[in-house]
Amino acid sequence: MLRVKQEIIDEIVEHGRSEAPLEACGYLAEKDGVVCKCIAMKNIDASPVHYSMDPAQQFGAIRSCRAEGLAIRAVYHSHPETAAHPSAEDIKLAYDPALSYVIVSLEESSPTINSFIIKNDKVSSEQIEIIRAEKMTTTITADVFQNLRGIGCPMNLVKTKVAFSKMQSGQILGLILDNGPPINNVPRSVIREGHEVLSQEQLDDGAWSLLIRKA
Amino acid sequence: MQITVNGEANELHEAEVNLSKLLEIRRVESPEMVAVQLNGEFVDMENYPSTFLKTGDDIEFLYFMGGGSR
Amino acid sequence: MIDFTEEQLERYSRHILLDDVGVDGQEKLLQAKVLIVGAGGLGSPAALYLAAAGVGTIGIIDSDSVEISNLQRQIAHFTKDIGVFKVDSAAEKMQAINPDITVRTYKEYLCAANITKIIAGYDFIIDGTDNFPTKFLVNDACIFTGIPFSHGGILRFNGQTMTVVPGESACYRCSFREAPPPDAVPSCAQAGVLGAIAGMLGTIQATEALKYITGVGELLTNGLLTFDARTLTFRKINLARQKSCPVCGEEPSITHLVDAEQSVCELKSEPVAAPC
Repeated sequence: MLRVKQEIIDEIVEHGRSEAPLEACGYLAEKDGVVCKCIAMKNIDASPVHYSMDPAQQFGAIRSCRAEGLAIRAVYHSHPETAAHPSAEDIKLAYDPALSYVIVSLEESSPTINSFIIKNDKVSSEQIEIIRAEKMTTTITADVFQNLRGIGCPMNLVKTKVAFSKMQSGQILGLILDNGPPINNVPRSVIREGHEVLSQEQLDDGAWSLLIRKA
Repeated sequence: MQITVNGEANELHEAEVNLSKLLEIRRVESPEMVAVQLNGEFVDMENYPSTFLKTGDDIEFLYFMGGGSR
Repeated sequence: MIDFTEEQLERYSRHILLDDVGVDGQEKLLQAKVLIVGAGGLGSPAALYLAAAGVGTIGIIDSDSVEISNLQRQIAHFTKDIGVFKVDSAAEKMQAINPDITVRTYKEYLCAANITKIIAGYDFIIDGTDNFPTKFLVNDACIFTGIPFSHGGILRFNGQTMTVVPGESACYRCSFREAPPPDAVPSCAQAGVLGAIAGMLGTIQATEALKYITGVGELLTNGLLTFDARTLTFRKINLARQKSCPVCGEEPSITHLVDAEQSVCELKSEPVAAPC
């Protein structure tokens, strides 16, 4: 399993596209088991069908990774015109079995990325888990909480208004609302009355969790 | 002379019209059941004969209306 | 702050949902006291709507009993109620609609001697009386005590209403001065009235009471709303406080409550002047 941050995937694709129609190549470095750095390398072959890294640049990259507490985890390169599978030459030149080989295919309009482990000329697929950026929200806690699961319109709004009537301006009301008409109507109504919906997210059971600041 | 009665423009051809005459012209059957307001001011019934209208006057007939108990 | 029960939240949900009413407005309604004078054509719809709205205390005063000729427009009374006191009949319907509220009944004829005591403590009064002496009595007593009220009248196909906030807006006497002579007043038997217009007007009066209590919008003050059901035209005639008004003017000639000559107090339940 190769765990990669979303923005690194974006960087690989971007690098591939910027070099096309030539192949692009580089290293992926990880920390705490997650690839968090993309080190673009020069393809000294400057070829649309194969790549070679500059050895001097390779050593420089490895050194700077160590200095940052990172470890080289994978080698990536692009296939501007072909699928995201290792070519015969890719397999032959995969000299380091400890690394994963990541290939981004740009043949379709939406890019495909695959990772492979290549040992003794044997290729096996490796799953990629994309780690999405964590939300930069500070944790807000509700002053008053109302679970309105199973309560339809308009009683859910009535109960929301009753809850607000007992709160001070600026306090936060936490709400659980059913999916469907409740989530479509209640936020709209509270916004119309001047309250501020701070967050709204769907829970595993389909219901929605909201935080609303009283006007 | 151009006057307004109950919100509607009215042309009076008579030269001199007092409120008594206007009630007649408007065929108000029982003047006792009407209160008259001239340009926003209440006019006492005893002053109807001496109250002559002029162009631009705004007259409202306010009818007495009871309740609905009986 | 009232803790609404689940049942109250459901019952009053359509009020609570209104931005301008909301929880606070409903609470005000539940704590409000409104007196309805007359359990007839205007009083019936007003009583039913105010009960439904959850006005916490509703007083209703009328000394009459239900007659079959009332049923064409006095919708709080049913055929089974013929012979029953109107206030008892109305109270039964109000409590049936909303057991949440308190209904106070007065089987009395409102007159100078009892009006001050009866209206004391009410926040708003709905005048649905059938005779002019009582209308003027309600006006004067409200001016003296500072209680706002809604005047209402219907005749044939027409209706009129105005809201009076004592000390602030034109009163009934500002425009109408004094009761017309009894022999000029058309009686119901002669004039007739289209039953449904009692509902049109009584519900406007109830709306004014609800607006006054909740503070929503602008009251029908300094204006007489009139309508003619035949053409369904509504007009609002601007009125202003009159310096010459005998009760709220600069030099009032009426300084205490007196019964008009034709007061039904003396006549018991057989008033001479009884328009509809």
